[in-house]
Amino acid sequence: MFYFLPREALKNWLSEISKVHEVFVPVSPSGFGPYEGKLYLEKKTKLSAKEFFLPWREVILKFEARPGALPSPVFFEPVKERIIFGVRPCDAKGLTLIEKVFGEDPFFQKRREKTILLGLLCKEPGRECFGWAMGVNPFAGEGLDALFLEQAEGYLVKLLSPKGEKLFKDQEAFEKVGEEAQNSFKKAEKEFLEKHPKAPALEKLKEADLLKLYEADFWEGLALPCLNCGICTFLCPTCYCFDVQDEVVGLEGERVRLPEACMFELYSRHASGHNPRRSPVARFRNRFMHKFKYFLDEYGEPLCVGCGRCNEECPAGINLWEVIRAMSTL
Amino acid sequence: MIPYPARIERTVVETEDGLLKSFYLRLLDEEASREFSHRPGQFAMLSVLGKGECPIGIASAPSEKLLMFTVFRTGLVTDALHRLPEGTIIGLRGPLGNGYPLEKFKGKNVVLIAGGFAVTTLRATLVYLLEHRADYGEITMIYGARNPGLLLYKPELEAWKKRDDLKLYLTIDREAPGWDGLVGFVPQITEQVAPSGENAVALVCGPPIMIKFTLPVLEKCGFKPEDIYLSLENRMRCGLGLCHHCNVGPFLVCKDGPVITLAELKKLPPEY
Repeated sequence: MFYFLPREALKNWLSEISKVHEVFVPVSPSGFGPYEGKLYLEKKTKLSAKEFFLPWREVILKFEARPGALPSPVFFEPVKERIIFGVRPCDAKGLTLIEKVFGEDPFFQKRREKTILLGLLCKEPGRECFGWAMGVNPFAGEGLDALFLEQAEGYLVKLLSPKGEKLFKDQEAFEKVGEEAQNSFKKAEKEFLEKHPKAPALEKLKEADLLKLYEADFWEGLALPCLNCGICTFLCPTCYCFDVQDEVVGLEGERVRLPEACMFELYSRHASGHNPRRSPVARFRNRFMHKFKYFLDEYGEPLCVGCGRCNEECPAGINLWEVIRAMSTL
Repeated sequence: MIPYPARIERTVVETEDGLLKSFYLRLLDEEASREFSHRPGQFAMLSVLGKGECPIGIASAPSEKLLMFTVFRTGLVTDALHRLPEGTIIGLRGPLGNGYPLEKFKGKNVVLIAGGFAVTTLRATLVYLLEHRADYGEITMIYGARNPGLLLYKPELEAWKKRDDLKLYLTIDREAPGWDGLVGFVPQITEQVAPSGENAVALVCGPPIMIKFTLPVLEKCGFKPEDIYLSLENRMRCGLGLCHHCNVGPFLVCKDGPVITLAELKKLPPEY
């Protein structure tokens, strides 16, 4: 089902639905925020919508800080249904990849159920984007409830899920459109896919031998500039590792889930001091083996959506493609 | 998963240096206590609110009433645990992990090889095997510690020595006054005992150096890699296969392990 929204009507519509739902939009090149009139839609934001589902700090238990106290579980329950508008298709696809692992986690599930994701197709690929090479078809809108395609006069909206259909059923600002509009969408999709095919590297990676990849000698050279700073994991829409810490202030304690990066030395250090991945090279190798071999073998897709944020922000100038190329041409 | 409250019913200092303590726990909720059912080889996350959690192998057999864990005092959480008096309530999340596939061992000879305090889950396994003695062939246990003071479960070892349906070999690394048993490292004793790999499985738990030298001995005795079982350890956080801390290549120790055969281990990258 397709709808059409005239360009001038977008902001009004966002204001209208803000009265009934909590609405989040990209407010600046940095990331998302509640809709208060400002909107940034030129390019994808630095932070993806990952934080709405895997928040930076998630309390899972509350307790009194004394020996023998019993914990009280905490379950986050979004008060109102949330709508996140302006999510890029690559970020939404990242969410479906995370869901393969977190599908049964109650915290992730509750947030997912109470959130409606409205996607926005990019006008053109960003400088470092390569989502199509990773098998992401932005026009398919995986993970989204509706997808907006910007055209000359306004936005063509494709509904993708029952949640999306329910939302748009009574929205007066949107008019239903017929076959001609659907065809223009399909044409845009066809043109895109012809110019941007999936990378053959993925098939080669599936067939590569795990231990041979692990013992390859290109890892040292590629990992040498890496500072193990973790920016790539922080910005990545598919990285999901978390740490669990007990935080105590005075007599009140909380057990929280925090973001964690496999690039840190503490990530795999045992209490005895032994560390299976003591060297920075080992940790660098582990991250890419996980994304492009272990996950690929288990789920058939790489744990990467080609958003290119890691390439843009890496302070050491490491380019993901060099790693993928080295891994797939072994 | 939320930690179940559990009371420390009893603590026993197992070793002379005081670093190993056994905790006997009872789940507060009676229904949870009745329904808790684990397999030897599985572990649980012991939770000290305010400090954190640590994964500890379950050293009690499924039939025993209290859940027993033997904890080595080495880090933040284990140190806090050691300082708790009997009667304190801590948290427990479990059972986690895969445990030993004991059904596959029926009708076979079972060789348990333990070094140091890795004997904890093998104790659970041995108690279970002895309870179902008729299902298994010859049971051999080789258990070594650095010195007599570091042997765990000393009263039980005395009782097991007297049994005639179990071959128990206790050894210490170097001569010590008052010890008239075997002397030698576990791999050397294993070579002397030379259990046959014919229709047998070997369960090996111990420090990496001991495992490194014991495996060639087992190979010489005819054990196939699919019949040698090891137990991996790694830093953990969630214990549920989500946070990915404990991965050894594609293998998550908390979810796919900790028990793994040597055949499977050879396919994994050597990062453990």
